[in-house]
Formats: sequence, structure tokens, C-alpha cells
Amino acid sequence: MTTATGSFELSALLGRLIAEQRIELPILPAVALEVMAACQQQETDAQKLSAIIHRDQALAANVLRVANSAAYVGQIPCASLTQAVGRLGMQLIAEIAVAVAVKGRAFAGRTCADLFEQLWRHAVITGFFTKEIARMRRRNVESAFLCGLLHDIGKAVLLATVGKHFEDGRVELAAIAHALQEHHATVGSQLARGWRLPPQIVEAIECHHDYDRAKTAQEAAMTVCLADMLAHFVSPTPDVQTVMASALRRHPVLLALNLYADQLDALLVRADKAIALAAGMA
Amino acid sequence: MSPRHAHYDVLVLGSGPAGQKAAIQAAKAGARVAVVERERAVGGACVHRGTIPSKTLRETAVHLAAFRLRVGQLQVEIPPDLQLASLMDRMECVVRANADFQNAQLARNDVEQIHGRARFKSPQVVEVETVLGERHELGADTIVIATGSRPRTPTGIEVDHENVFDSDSILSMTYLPKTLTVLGGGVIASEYATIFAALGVHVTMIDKASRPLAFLDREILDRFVEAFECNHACVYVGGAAVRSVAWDGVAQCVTTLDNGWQAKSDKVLCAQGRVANVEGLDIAAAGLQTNERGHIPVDHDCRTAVPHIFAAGDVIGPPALASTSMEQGRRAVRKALGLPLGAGAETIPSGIYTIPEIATVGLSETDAKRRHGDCIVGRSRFDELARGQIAGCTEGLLKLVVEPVGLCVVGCQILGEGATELIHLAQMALMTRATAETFVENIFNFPTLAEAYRVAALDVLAQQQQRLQPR
Repeated sequence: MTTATGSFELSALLGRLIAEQRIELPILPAVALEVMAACQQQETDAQKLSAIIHRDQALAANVLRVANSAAYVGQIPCASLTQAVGRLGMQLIAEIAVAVAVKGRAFAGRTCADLFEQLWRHAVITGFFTKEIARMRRRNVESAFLCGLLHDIGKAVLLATVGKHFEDGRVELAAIAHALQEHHATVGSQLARGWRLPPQIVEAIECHHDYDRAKTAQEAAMTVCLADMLAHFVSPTPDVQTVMASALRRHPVLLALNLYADQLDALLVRADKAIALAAGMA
Repeated sequence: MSPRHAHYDVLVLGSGPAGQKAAIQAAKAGARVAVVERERAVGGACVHRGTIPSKTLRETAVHLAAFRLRVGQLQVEIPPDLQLASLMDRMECVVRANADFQNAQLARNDVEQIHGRARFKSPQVVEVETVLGERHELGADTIVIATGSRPRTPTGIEVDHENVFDSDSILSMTYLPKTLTVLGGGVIASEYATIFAALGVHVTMIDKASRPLAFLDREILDRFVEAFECNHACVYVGGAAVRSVAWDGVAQCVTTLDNGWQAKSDKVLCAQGRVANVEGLDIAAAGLQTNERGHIPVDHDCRTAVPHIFAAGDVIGPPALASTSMEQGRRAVRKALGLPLGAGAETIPSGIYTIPEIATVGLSETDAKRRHGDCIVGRSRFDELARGQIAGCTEGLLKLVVEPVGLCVVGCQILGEGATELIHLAQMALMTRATAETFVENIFNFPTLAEAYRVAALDVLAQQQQRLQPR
């Protein structure tokens, strides 16, 4: 790549597009919203949930593929969604369905495919660690995975925009990364509000780099902040500066979450599981 | 931040009710004091995960129930997908305010606060590890262990904080479940069971004992269970142990009892006791060991087997009430510093923040008969009090237990709203050796729930009169 458009110009352009509301926000497939709603309803059972997912055949196939991946599968693969719900449970299948729907809608593009892939891998690993941190802190883990999974969705949206504007590939990875980093929380939270996601997910997306700003779900924002760091640490990506062990162990979010060194070590031991999950959801 | 000193007159481990009062007492006596707290903020489980947050949710539940009662025919329902946080919007403010004033109190008394985890290196030396891994060795003439307790996870029940919660994680539940199974019959289990029942959740409470809160007066308990089961689809299942708690793989948790009976619910709360926070303290290095229940043994003045080390609060076991923990912390330090101890409170009231509340002080009817051979029990039902009718707390009952001859008050048990406040009148009566006549001869405000004392005392006098009449 040659540098025609630097990070400053790219960032300024994205800032302008955001201000003018010209960033195209993807629409969450209706089936994903229905899945989330169904999980909160008492009358929902395995048949009903799989029927909802089956309305989108591509989604159904992908959910079954992920449910049968190394991260989840038992000795005998699931032959149907209903069986998968029975084995993995409604909540987990719903999580997978939403994740798959989000991936298809927001983490995919003809240009910058490698970057989309990296973003997705990072999202899944962050989702995994968000849940693990919440569990370690004896907090409800129900929405933790989605908080982590979606924390950088703004980057995916902006990447799609950058891809459209710079299809000729005259922009350097570092410039893209810098511009995405600057604006992703704003765009991500706009998207999450548009998708009417629960407030703790919106705030985790908006404030995971600045959790002191969080008003109602500071704990979720702090948890995602650490999960984000852990994900970068165990699975570095070229677009983000490598997280050094010394920096991780002295990061202020550990103080905020009151996690001691041995607890951090216990989380890091789970890295293999996180990476396996990301591979399963690829 | 590094500790200001390497040696302290008094080093307190933990900043809950016991630790806080120990530290303040030591500081007021002029000692150089530090409190080591492993959490970010002072206050312990009482402020951050226990007493204060659950009582804040309880207030919402009580107000909601009262509002439903007052609006009469109007239907007041909680939306099924309501975020639990919206029922606790004041919780953060209340918790922060409590932590702030405790913080200010420590600062005002020049008590140094050290954020980190403590571990004994020897009987005189404690190592503090900070979150970021720094280690500091601190010496002290007196050490007070007040590290509190945490929920016990019974063997065989996986508390995943997603489907099965403990009393720490239950309040971080994002939405109100439709159905909840509560495992346990103790104070915490009963409090949460009734709070969620009042919020409209269908609660099944399960315990080995035939009645919850088995240490309380039977008559009070019967009324309590009756009040709990008056909530729609709420039931107490006693006399059977939990064999397993498993997720059905779809949407519900299945709790199976050893008699084969099953309860299905959206969520499960496991509230089967608490364990002392002694792990990581390495008390063996200090020459201490726990008893068979995992508590640190102490004498009447909270002194451990090592003379300069004291322990107070939940870490020494029952009654594990915030009120008694405070007194234990204060008393331990006074003993350590050679200050006069005072008589020591013998009549400690117990308050249980169920809906309705339960409070007790002194002897129950059974205990009084055992100790004195006989007793007279005066009763007052809240549905016979004007204030009880006005406030809609008609399920209440006050039992005044008196000696059969002198009519001295020896105990009192109350079920009903305001019980935890009302009980202090009985406590004062016990301390001053007041008789039942005291409540008859003195005038109380009208209409109040305190009138129950007068009604119960009149009942006592009537019974005494009957006894005196020739047969």
C-alpha cells in the first residue's frame, strides 16, 4: 500500500461522515431480535426457538455449524437445531444465533476481508473473557458475552465505510486502525441504540475505553475494558499495538475491578478455550 | 499507595461493621491504626453485597406492595421484561453514601486505609499484597481479624451466576424472573424469598427443616409461612434435602429433592449459609486454626488463642449480625488496649428483614417455660390495631413474654412491618426490668403500631387475673 490518505485525513473524514450521519448503519436481522426477545419469554421452548431461527435458513445452518464446532460439540454432533437447543440450552443457542447474525451483517465485507476476520476473532475472544471475568467477580453473566462480542462493532461499521471509500487500497493499515480506534465507540453505541440493545450493552460499547464516563453500567464497561486487553494479549492483531504483560498487570482497570494477580493468572489460563471458541465461530 | 508506617499499634484486617468499629475505637484511644481492605471501598459485604443492597430492594418491594394495596381496583403489574436495576435505582446512591460516610469517618479519625489482601507471615507480621502486585510487610502490637464471610457453595451445586445465583450475584440479575427457587431456610434465604415474592415472582423455598428460620418462635413462624404463601404461587417445601440442581438444557433449572419431588424455575438462588473469609490469610502462620465450622475460635472478649490477635464479626461465627459485629470489634480493641469494657450487652435484638419483618429479643415462650417453668404470653394482632388497618399490615403479631409472678418482661417476638424498630421498646423493657404494667400505665401515641405493646400487656394482665381467680 502506498500512503495517499494518512491517518489524520481518514479520521477527519470519518468524523465528518459521523457528524453528517452519513455512516451507513447495518440493520440487525429481524430474526436476531426475535431470538433475543424469545429468550425472555416463559413460553419459549426448543421448538419455538429453532422455528424462529429456521426462518433464516442461512442463519440456521450457521448456528448448527457453530454448535457442532470444537468449542461446543460433545461426542455426537447435533443433527438439528432443536437437538442443539436441547444440548447447549436456549440461552447459548440464542447467543450463537445473535453472534452469527451480527457477523453476517456487520463483520463481513468484500474489501479488507482480513481485517474483518481479525475484528471478529477479537470480538469473540473478548466476549468469552467478559463472561469469565463477570463469573469470577460473582456477577450475573447473562449479557456479558454480548457486551464483549459487540464492544468493537463500531470498528466493523467504519471498516465497511472505509472499504467503500478506499476501495483502491491506497490507505495504510495503521491509518485505518487509528481512524477506527478514534471513532468506533461513538458509531458502535449509535448502532447499538438503533438496534435497541439492552442499556448495559450500549454503555459497554460506548465506554469500554473510558469506563469512568459510564453512567448506569460502569461495571460492564470496566469488565469489557479488561476483556478487550486480555483478548489483545492472548491473540495479538497487527492493527493494534501489542499488549505487553507488564502493561496488562499494571493496568488501572485491574484496580477498578479489584482483580488480584492470581485472579488475572486464572483468567489467562482460559486463553486456549477463548481461542478455540473464536475458531469455532470463524 | 504504600503504607505510611511499617508498624502499627492496631492493625485491622477487613473494614466491615466489626473492622470499622474496631479501627475507630482504637483511633479514639490514640492508637496508630490501619485498616487493610481487599475490596476497593470500605464497608465489607454489609455495605456492598449484603445488608444495604438487599434492604434497598426490599424497600422497593414493600412500597410496591403498599401501592398495590392503596390503589385498590387498579392493576399494578411489573412488566415481564423489567430490568431489575430499575427497581434498585437508589441502590447505587445508598451504597455509595454508606461507603462514603464510613470512609470519611475513618479519615476523620486518622485511620490509615490500605487497599490489599492480608496474609500472616508470623503472629506479629502481616504481608499486604496490592492489586497491582506490590507487597508490604506490616508489624502490629494488636491485630484484629474482621474479614467477614461469603456465600457458601454446597458440594454438588454449581453456582454459575447465570442460572444459579448466590446472594452476592442475585442482585446483579438483569431482569426479574417469573419463577425462582430459593435453596435454604435461613435468614438470607427467607429475606430474598419474600422480597422476590412481593415483587410478583413465583417463589419456591426449599430446605431440610420443616419450617424456615427454625430458631424462631413457632407461632411467629406459622404466621410468617402463611404470609409468604399468601403471595401468588409461592410455597415453602420443607423436610427434604436437595439432591441436585440441573439445568434442563432449554430454559429452566430443575431442583430435585431426595424424595424425588422436582421444582422447575427460571432461576435458582442458593442461600445455604456463609463461610468465613479466612482463606489466603494463612492464619496457621500466626499460630491460629479454625474450628470444625471454619470459624476462628475466640473468648468472650473476642481474643483468639494468640493473645495479641483478636477476631470479630462473621469470621467468628454466629450470630453474624452487623449489630453484634460492631460491638465485638469495639470490645476487642478495648480489651486489647486495656480500656474498661462495660457490662456488655446481654440483650441483643435480632432483626430479620423479610416481608413482613421479624424481630426478637430475650426469651421466646418455649425458652421462658424452660427457664422459669412457666410464663404468661400476651398477644396483640396487628389487624386489631387501628394503625395496622390503616397501614395494611394486618398479618402482624406481637408476643410479649413475661414472668408469671412479677410480670417482668423477659422476651418479645414480633412479626409485622416495623418489627425491627418496634423491638427496641421491648429491649429497653428487658434492660430496665420493666413489667407488663409499664405498657398499660404509660400512654403511647395513637394510632401507632407501638400500641401493640399495650394490647399485649393488657392481655397479660387479663390472663394473670384469670389465674388468680379461684377455680
